[in-house]
Amino acid sequence: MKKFLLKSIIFCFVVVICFGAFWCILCSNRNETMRLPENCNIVFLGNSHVECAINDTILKNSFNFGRSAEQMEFIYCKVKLLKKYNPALDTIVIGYDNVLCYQSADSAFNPVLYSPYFFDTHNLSTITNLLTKSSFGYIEGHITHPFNWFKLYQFGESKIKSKTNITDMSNLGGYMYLTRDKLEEDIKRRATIKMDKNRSFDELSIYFLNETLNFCQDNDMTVIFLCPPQHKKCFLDSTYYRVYYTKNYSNIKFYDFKDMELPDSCFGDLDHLNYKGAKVFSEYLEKEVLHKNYYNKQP
Amino acid sequence: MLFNSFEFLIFLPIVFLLYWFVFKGIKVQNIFIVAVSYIFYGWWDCRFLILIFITTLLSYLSGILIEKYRGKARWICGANIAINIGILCYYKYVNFFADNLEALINQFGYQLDWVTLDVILPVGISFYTFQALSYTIDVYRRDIKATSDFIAFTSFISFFPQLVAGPIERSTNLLPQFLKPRRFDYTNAVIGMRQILWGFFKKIIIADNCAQLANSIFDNYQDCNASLLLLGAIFFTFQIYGDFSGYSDIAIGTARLFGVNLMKNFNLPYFSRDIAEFWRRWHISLNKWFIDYVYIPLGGSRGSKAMVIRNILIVFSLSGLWHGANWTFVIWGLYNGVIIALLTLLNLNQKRSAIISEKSFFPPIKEIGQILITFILVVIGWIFFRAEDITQAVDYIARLCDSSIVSVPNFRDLGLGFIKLTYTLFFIVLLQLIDWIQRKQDFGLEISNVKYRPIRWSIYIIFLLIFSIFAGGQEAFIYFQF
Repeated sequence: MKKFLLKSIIFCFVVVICFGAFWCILCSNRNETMRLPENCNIVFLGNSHVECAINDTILKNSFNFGRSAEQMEFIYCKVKLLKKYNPALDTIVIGYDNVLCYQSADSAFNPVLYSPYFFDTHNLSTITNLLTKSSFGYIEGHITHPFNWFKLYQFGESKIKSKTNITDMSNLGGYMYLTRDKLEEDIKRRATIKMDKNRSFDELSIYFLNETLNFCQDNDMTVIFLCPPQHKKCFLDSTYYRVYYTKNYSNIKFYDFKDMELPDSCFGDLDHLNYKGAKVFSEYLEKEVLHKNYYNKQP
Repeated sequence: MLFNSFEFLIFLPIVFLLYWFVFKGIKVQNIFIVAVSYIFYGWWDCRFLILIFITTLLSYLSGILIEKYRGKARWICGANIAINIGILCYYKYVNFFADNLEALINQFGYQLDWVTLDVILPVGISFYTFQALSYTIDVYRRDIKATSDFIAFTSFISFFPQLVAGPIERSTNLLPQFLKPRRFDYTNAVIGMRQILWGFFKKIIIADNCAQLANSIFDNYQDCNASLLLLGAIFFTFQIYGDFSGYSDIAIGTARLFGVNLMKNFNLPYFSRDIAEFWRRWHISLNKWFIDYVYIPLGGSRGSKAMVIRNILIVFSLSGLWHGANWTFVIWGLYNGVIIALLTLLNLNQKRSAIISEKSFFPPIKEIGQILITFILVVIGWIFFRAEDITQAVDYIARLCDSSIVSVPNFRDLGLGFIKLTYTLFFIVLLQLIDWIQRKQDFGLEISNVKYRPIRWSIYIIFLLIFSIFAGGQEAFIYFQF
């Protein structure tokens, strides 16, 4: 028995050393993998709403780095790494919408998303805050899914370098060419789901959002909030995030397109634009916003 | 509690250490096993612990009563079977039967205002019910003596590694292990750890990755060309194999750590040379259960061919229904039953050797052809198993029979990534290759014959790295629902 335990401990030690070495090798060429395409100075970050809405092949000088169910923590990590390896980056567009409150606190979002690729971007105070403000599920997502620790890396490498319009299921982020056409089904399906309309933004998401804003301010980067269009029948709360914005972030530009009128064919479901919608919306942004320097005006 | 969860990662080492270092002695260890098994099961929903306890108590009492009143053994055994099957039917089939009855009566022009009951299916109910039934029947048949040790019996019914998804153990194999002292065996524990690792490979790398692809394809099958539908069916074929045999490997490996040996549940099913052989290699514990407790009592292979075919069809229909309250499962069972019945009619149902191509690395061409044909038949069967309803299954198969089966799969239309598709296929091939090379061993990662420890450890670490890089999403085990 003692022999078994001793060997198990030695084996665990060897595994930790091997994984540590592997992680160091992975991160050693991060400056290459996190380099944005040439002339790109605007990055879109956010959850699947942003991931599906911004076709960065249409928008000039921009890169969509959104990812499905992205947590604010990783937006913060991404911003730090992107700035480190892309000093010319000057504008960050963050998805700010009614789904923010469903993240981080909800363990269902977490396990598959954790990437230690970003882990060393945290300093001690961030880690302390992470531990004190996190739910059990969130911590679990960090420390208990070693199986996911490196999976995102190898696909991220090719992803960030090219603006492919086909997404892979495992990546660090990028425009999702959504072919989904399930609006009617989604309307029926969600009619049967009871959502808690009183949910508020969770503390951890707000903490990392504030950290991101502070980082951008310290590095002279412009931050813009963006809420991509959602279908008029979308039942997600449309008040709270606006009130919260007015109270806390009124100094940040916020382009709230939630209620933008688009034909039904543009929606993959109630709150995601499909590729048709992304084209329409991105062309609108390119024409009406970027070219007219809309980012510096009120919507 | 899922094997592939944080909770289990903490639970297992603690239970292991307490079991061997604190709770010494057979009685105390058995009490401890019962306690941790109930925690393991109650983690999901503690309300249903009462159900396991009732099943345990009834089977325990019926065993003692059968032994005591041999003259009335048939009635006692029958009553216990009826109550346990009744509980199973209520939780698993009540709405299925009610809906079908309603549909049938409506056919005759009567309108039934039927109320659908809001019944939650307890995890693993089919597994522990069948295990409990096997004990009662074995006592009735005098295959085993009824035990008076209630704690040992409760350990036998609720032993946590195999409680929710098998293997469905026989009282003759498992119960005696709880009645005698268990000693820690280093070699057995190491083999157990290897088997756990191999089980996780099947679950995390094969099943979870295949699940994501198979779900996307089955959910959007109308948008897929035939070659992609074929891929979808193949992905599901390996999803269910990786998922269930992976669970069995983890269960068997975990049990070894506690000095308990469980029966083998899978034996390279996708290398079978006919469907009958497939069923001797797939979910062995369930099929042995049906053979011993249904097929043989019905007459087995004795009697006329008509009787044999009747028995085969009954067993496979029941086996299908055991898997779930849906006609798709029944049709899947019948589909397999019909093929075996045809083999029996044509006298092609051969007793094959347990090890395929025992004397040479490559099987003869004829056997390769047989393996391929059997695999295709199995894949078709899984389409029924996976489909939401029979219409979808038939439609799926009809769409498969299209000239686009020789075209490039249109996976990009579904937003499926080429990289994921490629490495999932690669790991499927790797799994089959390892299975084939290791076919004379108990499981794929049984590498006791590799002498040098650095090589063995390197293999383990490579597997762990593969988990960390290529793991699919954390999915629940499919067979929990059965």
